[in-house]
Amino acid sequence: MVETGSISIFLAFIISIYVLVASIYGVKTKKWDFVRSAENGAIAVLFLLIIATIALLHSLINLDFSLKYVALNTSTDLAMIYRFTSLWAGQAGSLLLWSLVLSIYTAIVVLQSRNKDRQLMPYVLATLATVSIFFVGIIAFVESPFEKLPFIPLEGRGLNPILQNAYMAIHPLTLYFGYVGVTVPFAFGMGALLSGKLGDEWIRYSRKWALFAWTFLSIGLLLGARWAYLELGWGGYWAWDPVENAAFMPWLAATAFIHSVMIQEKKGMLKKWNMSLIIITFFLSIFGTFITRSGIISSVHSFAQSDIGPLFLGFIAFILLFSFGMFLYRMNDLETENSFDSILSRESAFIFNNLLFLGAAFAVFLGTIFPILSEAITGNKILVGPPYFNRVNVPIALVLIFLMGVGPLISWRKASFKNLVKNFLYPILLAILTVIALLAFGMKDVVALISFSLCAFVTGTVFTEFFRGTRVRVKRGENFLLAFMRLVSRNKRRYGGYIVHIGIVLIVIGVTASSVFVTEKQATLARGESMELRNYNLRFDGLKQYTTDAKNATIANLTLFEGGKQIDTIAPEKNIYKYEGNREINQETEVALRSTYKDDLYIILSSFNEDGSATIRVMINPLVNWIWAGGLVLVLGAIVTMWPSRSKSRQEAFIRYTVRDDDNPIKAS
Amino acid sequence: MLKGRLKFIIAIAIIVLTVSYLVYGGVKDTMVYYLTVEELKAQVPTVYDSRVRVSGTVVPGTIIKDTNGALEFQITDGTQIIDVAYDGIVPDIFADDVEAVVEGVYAKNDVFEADTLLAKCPTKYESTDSLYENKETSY
Amino acid sequence: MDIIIILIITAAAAIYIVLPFFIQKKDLANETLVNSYTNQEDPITEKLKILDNKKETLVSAIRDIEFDYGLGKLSKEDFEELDNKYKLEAASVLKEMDEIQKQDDRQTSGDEIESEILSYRKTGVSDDVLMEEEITAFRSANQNNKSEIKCQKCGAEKSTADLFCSKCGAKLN
Repeated sequence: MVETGSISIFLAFIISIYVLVASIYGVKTKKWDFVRSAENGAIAVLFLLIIATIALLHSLINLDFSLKYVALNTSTDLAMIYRFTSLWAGQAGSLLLWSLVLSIYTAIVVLQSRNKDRQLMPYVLATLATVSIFFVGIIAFVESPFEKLPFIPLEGRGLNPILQNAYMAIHPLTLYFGYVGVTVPFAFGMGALLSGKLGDEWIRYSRKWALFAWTFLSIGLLLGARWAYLELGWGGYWAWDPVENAAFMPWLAATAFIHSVMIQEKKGMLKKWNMSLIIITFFLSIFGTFITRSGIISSVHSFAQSDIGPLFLGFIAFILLFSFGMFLYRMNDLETENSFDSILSRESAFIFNNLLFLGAAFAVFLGTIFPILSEAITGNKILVGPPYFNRVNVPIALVLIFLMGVGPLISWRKASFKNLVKNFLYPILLAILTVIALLAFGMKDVVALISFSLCAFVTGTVFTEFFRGTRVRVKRGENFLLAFMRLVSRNKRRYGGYIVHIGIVLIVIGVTASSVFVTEKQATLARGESMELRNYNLRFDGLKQYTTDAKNATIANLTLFEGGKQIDTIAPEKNIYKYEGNREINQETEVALRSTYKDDLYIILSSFNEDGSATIRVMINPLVNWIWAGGLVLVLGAIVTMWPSRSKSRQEAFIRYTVRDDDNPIKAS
Repeated sequence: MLKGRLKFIIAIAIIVLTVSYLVYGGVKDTMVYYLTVEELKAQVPTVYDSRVRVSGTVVPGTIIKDTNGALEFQITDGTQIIDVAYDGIVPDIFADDVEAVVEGVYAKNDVFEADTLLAKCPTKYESTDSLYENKETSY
Repeated sequence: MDIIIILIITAAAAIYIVLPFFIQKKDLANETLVNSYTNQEDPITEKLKILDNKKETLVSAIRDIEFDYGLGKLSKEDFEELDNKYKLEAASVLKEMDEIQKQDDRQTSGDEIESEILSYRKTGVSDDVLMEEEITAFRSANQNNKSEIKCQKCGAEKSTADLFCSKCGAKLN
């Protein structure tokens, strides 16, 4: 199977080149069978990469240690499910996965748009093929998953224990669906530039892809944060680590993009802006992939140092030069049809939104590459850490939350000031009430107060939107529930978006509370002694040790009291693995977590002594579970936004628009 | 129409300037030099009491843990060695010969008081060195 | 064993890729005028598509402001100002389209745009009619109660600012 796998990759590479050449040749000479052939080539690439993936999986599951990749990432005691997920644990395998996901998307794009714009699509395909050539080329020639070792070891190195966890198993997958997903709108944008079809076709066709990619980037980020929280043992979920930032930057740019394309769709404006923005988003996506892999920015996360770094840099340079070059070439044709009416309009709110998101992306980008920049310029390696990132991003975030509340209330083109004030009344009242209540409760932290009151404001505006919209229908005789459901289903994009905003609000509340009001304490206790944090009391009842096949475990048995009443027992662990997992890492601390909607009690057994005493570290994270809950709401909202609508055909004799969706009744989707 | 445009340009300018200011101030106030042990020692006494980050390998046998969980150890870059004192969460990987990164202040008594400790796997992730240990009895 | 599989795969891929060169374009010929390749480059069709795009943008903008007005985000004056502006623009777009398409037998009158919105509303689910009536009620509630006229065709109450009855489409005097 191994030979099949590596030959398949090689074939995929060759055919990707063919796809590029044939699609360009076909569209330029109008020989459409070349284009068709290129499309078939793209589908062939998909099947070839599926075969290669199956071949690698086969080797992983059967622990074929003759392959370097298998030997590095598995071991004889590795559970079956993790042999499967080790497919993306290492460099070569994850690059194969990247290529596979890209080929899946390419095939879907080909099948979806078979009969759509014949001027545009071949260039879109050519762009996708170019990216594919790069990634498949790397796994074909530089970092092959099927590389053999000069000998066959008896035992593999094994998978890092902290990766043997459900979250870490799917987090890379979701991130890849997001990262690679950004390639599709980018390809459409490039297709527009190359073909000269500079209207908003490219946006209309790629809108759902952009949303899809954004959703998966969001999921990937949240899963990564949850994993870090559970496994890394420091009680936090985000450290502004370069690898975290690598995923965050494209997310910021993608968020800006999905908002600004609404303006182009509705008003025909911001064409140049949107084109530049998608190029930037794609650049950040590839750059993120690059940082994570090349080890160029040292991070406790980055999992490789290898030769592919320079190759990535070369590819990035090529993309930037080529895309912006084409952009400048077509700049004059990217004319806007309309102009702004008023600063008090949804358009301006969206533009401010974009500027802020890009500002944040720029700030994070600068902070992330700062060590490299400073070393290149001054010779000294200087870095900036969480204080910098928080200091810059928190104010930006607060303004963005405010805009999130303002946006729905402002209408397109021009909002009437009087009406605006009237609509703002209840949400602002809610915000003020919140501040008063919190102050009365004793809260003094300014940032937290602002954050919570803005969240209240946004919640107020969103609920007002839902309520008013539903009420209009209820007045006509529909019962409330039906009215609500019909309202949402007839305006999926609008109300789905509102649901996403609510999800964001929940996340912000969770982040604010758990960042500002976190408390922590460490104490060394002898048996019977207690430690106290806030209204919790932990009594140390002694150590216990046990052994399984895999590990020697030490548990600290603790009893939890709240306000004097016993409520739970908790047992954080410290384990020494005998031979499971990676042979180089064998100690593992298991956090004991007690989660409620109010807070998380996060308890670690730091160390223990021969006399039976133990050092326990306790942390209280208020409202941290609102983050994960908010994530679920966000995904729900995103699904609503992307859900297809009933289509009603309108017979148009000479123009081929046949489908309409809810928000745009007589438009192609 | 023109007035509207002007308002708009002003608003954009405000946003851009504010973000730039935040970035500038943020960098200036929080930047931390990343030094090797040798570089740190070379910058004595100016480097005392300023916040820096230092990386090095943990010198085997120097890890001392007291009953409260506080750590003392030494790190080296191959040429120089410094003493480190740290009290906080200890990464699981932390052990002899591990590549450690500490952030904190180098005190005048030549002990580095760290408030942050990070550790990285000693070997390169993609390195096959460890596999060779299992070579002898194969084939 | 592997060799055989590899050969099969390679052959399959190659065949699939060169297939389009041998299958005659009968599927293309059967495609309607609408989907054929050849009409794509027709400059007239291109221009019409651009204009139609513009028209649709305007129609959706009108629908948007009606929605917003109905929910009270837009004042009456602003709404009417934008409404008229869009309708004028749409009318001129349609006129341009008509001039290009000589053999077209679609309506070319000035109230085409209004009836287009209306017919959408009629063929739409009842919800849109409900929304429409709500907007009407809202508008009339917001008026100063002075200038009201009744539509001659259906009897709905409209203000003198309206050019067309939004319920039945008839022209108001």
